[in-house]
Amino acid sequence: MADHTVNVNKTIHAPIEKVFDAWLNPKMLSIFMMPMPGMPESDVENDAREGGNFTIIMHAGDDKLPHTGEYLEINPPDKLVFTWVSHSSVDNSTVTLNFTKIDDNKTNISLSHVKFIDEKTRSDHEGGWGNILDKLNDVMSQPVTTI
Amino acid sequence: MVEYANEKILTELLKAVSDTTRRSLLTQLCQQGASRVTDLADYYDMSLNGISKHIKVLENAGLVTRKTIGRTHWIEANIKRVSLVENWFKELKSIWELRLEKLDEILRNGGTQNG
Repeated sequence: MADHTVNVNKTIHAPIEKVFDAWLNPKMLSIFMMPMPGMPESDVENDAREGGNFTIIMHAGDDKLPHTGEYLEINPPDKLVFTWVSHSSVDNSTVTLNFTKIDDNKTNISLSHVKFIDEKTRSDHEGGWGNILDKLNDVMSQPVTTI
Repeated sequence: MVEYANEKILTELLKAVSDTTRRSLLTQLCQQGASRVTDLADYYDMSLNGISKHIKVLENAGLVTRKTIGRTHWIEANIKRVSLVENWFKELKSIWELRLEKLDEILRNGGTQNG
């Protein structure tokens, strides 16, 4: 498989502009961008414009888990797209958020996180299968020997 | 990974409910409230000795408590303890879902001072 997608839909009980802004506000990000529940606030630095970068250092016990990315699309208050690089993973990925107003105090977030298998990993993988199929072809094309 | 303070307790709880009868017993006690040991024995068609062994395991894990009124033993589910298992089940979600739940929680409370 070339990619792997996680889709999450959630209703947030706040106005759409406020929900959108939370994704660009470092103070807000530091609270909800956690590695798992019950962990302390993350350290966030961001340059909130298209082409700008962000760094989120999450804390899990004594471990520091850096996550970085680039804002690809900032279209308030409807859409936000950024790359998402977890430094513990070789995969590259993109997170797309679509915001929809339900009413004045309710907003739906549709989140899609697509992980692409790293090019090198993928070519190694394909190379692996290629070698196996070549080998199989070699074996199959040998004249049948009787015992 | 991160060691939860409750990790050891959770292991004990899950061991205690790894048995079908004990799971059923706990369900019964949660749904129907405190029950007499004799009634539980009747309900499960077991000897007093048999049902007592199961209750003892749940008791040791803190999932049920025993009250003696006169000569009657009443067994009651400890809902607080059960919620430890529930909390773990709630964590079996995508991290993104958990982050969105957290975002909802902070925005419901009016956001932060700077937010």
